[in-house]
Amino acid sequence: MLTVEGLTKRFDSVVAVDDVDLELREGEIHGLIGPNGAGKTTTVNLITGELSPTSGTIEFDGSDLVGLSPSSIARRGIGRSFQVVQYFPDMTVRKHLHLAVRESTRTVRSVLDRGADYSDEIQEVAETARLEDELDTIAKNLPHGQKRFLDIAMVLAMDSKVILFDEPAAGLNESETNEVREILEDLRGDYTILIVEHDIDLVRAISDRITVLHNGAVLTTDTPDNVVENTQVREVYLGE
Amino acid sequence: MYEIPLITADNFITYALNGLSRGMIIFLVASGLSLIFGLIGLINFAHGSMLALGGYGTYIVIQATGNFWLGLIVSVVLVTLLGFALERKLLYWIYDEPLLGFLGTFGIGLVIEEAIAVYFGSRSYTVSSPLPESVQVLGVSYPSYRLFVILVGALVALGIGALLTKTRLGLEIHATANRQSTAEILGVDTARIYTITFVLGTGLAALAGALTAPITSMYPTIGLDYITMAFLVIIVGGMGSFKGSLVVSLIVGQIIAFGWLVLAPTYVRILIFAAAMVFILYKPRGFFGKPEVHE
Repeated sequence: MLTVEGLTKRFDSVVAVDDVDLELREGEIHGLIGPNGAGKTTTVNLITGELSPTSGTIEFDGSDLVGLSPSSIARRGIGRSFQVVQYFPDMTVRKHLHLAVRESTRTVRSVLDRGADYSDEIQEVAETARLEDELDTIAKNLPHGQKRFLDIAMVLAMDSKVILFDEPAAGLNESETNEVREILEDLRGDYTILIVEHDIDLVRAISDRITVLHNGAVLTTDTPDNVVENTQVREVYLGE
Repeated sequence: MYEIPLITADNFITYALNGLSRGMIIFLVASGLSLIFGLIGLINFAHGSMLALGGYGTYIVIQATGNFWLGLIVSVVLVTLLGFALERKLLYWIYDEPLLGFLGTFGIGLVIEEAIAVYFGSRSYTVSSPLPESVQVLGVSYPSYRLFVILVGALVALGIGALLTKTRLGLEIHATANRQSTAEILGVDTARIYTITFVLGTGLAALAGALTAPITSMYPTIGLDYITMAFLVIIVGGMGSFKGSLVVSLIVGQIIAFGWLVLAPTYVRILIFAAAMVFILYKPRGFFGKPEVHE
């Protein structure tokens, strides 16, 4: 579904992402792990168009995404959440979701008619992201955990085919992390998901396959159990 | 000694309506400037020259056809297209460089102003009112054309207000103004939003120029006079605030209309700028301190 080949990103003399191959199969949850500075977020930024690769290809549904703008890539069906929660402080949760929901074709009516009734979609997404009681809350007034859920809800509202979650459990307590895990489990099969996460237990529990990055390069891609047993992974990531 | 004219109920209405029509023209200029600044963060010094082009363009078409309304439409459309070309081909590339944006638009404004001066000379031009008759308003006979200007200003205010608060486009403008990168990742084509906003702002300046042509004489630096007032309006109204632009424009219009009763126009301008400076000292963010297109 999404195939990355030979992806490389250099910042002057630093190679942040080094000849990375990554394949996301339709409907799978794919973990992307690695120590700090391994190139995980840079890889996500390259896929979503926020950074341009030095070389390599990113193929999605048969077309190359390299060179497209982030908004164009998002409209093609690749959504993402951020490591640091991104939201519009003065807008309600409902307006966030209204902004994220979009028609597949852009018509004059779709642009001018804000009254277009997306209430069913918004309600459904809010329930999935545990925000059904906060639809009319101003985003800045949400506690941190719910801001994280809002970030997830916006991606879901976009109805993307592929979702890239960049540390969705960052800064969350155990209970909230469990809720994120439940949300991701709910999404299994409906979306193709790449999850970047430091919480190895979370990634291991929900991923079908895991890719480990080290110094910008792929160390291995395998099932969670095999990755955890991998000697190299244990050395560079688990510190054993 | 100068005698302050007696203000009767009749001429009070006349002065108030004069203030309202002048305020609406200022609002058209200031709202466009405010939209562009509020969204893009560009201090557009070429904005005044778009007003001048709107006015002179209308004059040229009237000379050729004798039809004011055709002149208004043609000049607004052409100046708006010029705004589109400028945004796409030049300004879009320098949004991340505020100093270049400032100097670039300042340069564009100077070139247009000088081109007008070379072509038309420095003398003033006037345009006949397309609605020369008067109508009774609250028992006072008042020029129809000025009422038309008030009506257009009010419709534009309602229209832009509705666009910003009631449409998906307004939501996208709000999102882009707040966090461009987040809006982009949600699929909002922010480059397109920038273009639409700049073109809309330019169109409003051109409309102001065309509408003001039958009211005041036109001269090459007319844009500069209006843009300084417009800057004052958006600073006092609150940078990027559409509502603030409307309220302060109407207040300034009234101050000018009634101020001219007792002071020469130059002194009225000085008074307005001095009052604005004092106001800003106490309320630096203006009346409405931040963009509030979506509340």
